[in-house]
Amino acid sequence: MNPAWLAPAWLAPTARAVPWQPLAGVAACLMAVCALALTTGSWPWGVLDIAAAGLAAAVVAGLHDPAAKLLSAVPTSAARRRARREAMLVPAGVALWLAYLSVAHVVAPKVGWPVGPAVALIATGLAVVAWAPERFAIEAGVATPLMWVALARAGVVIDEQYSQVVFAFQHHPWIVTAAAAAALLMGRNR
Amino acid sequence: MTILTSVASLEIDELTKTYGRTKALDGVSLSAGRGVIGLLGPNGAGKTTLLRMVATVLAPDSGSLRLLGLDPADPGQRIEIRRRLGYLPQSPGLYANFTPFDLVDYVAVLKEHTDRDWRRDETRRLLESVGLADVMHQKIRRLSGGMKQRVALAAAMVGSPDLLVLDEPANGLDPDQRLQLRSLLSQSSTVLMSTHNISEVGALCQSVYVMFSGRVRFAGTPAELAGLAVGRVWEDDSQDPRAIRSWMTATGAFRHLGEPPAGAQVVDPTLDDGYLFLARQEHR
Repeated sequence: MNPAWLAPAWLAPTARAVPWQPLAGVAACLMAVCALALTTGSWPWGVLDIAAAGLAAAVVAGLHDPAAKLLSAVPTSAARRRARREAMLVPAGVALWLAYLSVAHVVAPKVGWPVGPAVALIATGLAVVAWAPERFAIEAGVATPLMWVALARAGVVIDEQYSQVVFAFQHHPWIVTAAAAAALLMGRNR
Repeated sequence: MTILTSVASLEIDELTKTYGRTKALDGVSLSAGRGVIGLLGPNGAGKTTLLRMVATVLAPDSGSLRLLGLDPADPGQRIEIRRRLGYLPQSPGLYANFTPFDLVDYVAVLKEHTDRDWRRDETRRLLESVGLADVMHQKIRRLSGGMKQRVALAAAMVGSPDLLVLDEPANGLDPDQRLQLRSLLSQSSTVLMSTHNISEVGALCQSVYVMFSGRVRFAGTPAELAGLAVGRVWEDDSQDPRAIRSWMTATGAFRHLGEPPAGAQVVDPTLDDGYLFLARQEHR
């Protein structure tokens, strides 16, 4: 019953059970952006937050489990199974983002390494999945980073406080990440 | 109403569950030991809600539940129950890119079976027992609906569970596969299964519960359910408007359910007759 003993057994089937297509789709889009940027020699600054939102949504979409009903009564809880998926999806998403930024650096060194906003959006999406009602948790988690970036892009600024919230993933990404991680941990046994 | 059979694997007392304004379960009680217990009722009667509670997937709003002598409300005991429980939900999803072998093996991993050799033997045994030995290494996406149902059934039976909870297990199975299912279930210890196939209940179940509108309206043996319609089934050559239900049988005669007229040729009721009579009472 030692989890370390179990690790080799669950690792491969869990990796196979994860729907990687959304992340692969986003990777293809990011590659297309990179190819275009390398060809034209200019970086499309405007798509950075959209790319981060797409990536976060794809990571969250990887939690979709078509066999969830069949597995709902096994001793390995849904939260633990989800945590295992997250342990695969999040590093893959972050690695993809770093690869994207490293290409961006070649064309436009001023891009810097804005890893924080992408991580904040991913963490927020995962936290929403942990707390949203089960029947639409994944959909809500996928929609969250997209909606958040859409709000920021729409420039909906009513007042200063509102603006602080809308742009929090950009201005305070690690605070957002910490809060989302705490929410994720607190919601893991729901 | 309660049936007591040997040591109870299942003790359910006054369970209730409400979704919005709908009372899915309204004071359901039952108790059962070893054997196959059938759950009958129309769609929306609360069968799936009850099975999800027995599978420890859903918590009741009120009432108590003891499974295999343990309390599923306690997280530690719930895990222990799950180690000894198999659950086949209605229309279970599967991983299309897995083979049946991979899927059942994965379920065994999630059921905390750490011995790889044991898992492989168990997976092979189960897939053979559900008649999927020839396709156990084919992708699930290439299998028919009936085969997928049998893969899910094999997954539910990993580790020979003490309590097997099956939501319409015969869905999509052909007659031969249904017989195979009967043979499999008759070897299991405690099985609670819902079905719309009344003949399945007659062939397999030691006891039967009939639910309507979230309540248990009948509890007894299949023979007792059929017995509800004793003296209320008759046959003749033409349709009888006085009957509450009438249908033509394979012999061309009409079978009627209701209060028979004087001189009618009363026949022995079947399980279907008993169920239909009960359903008719319920809708009055």
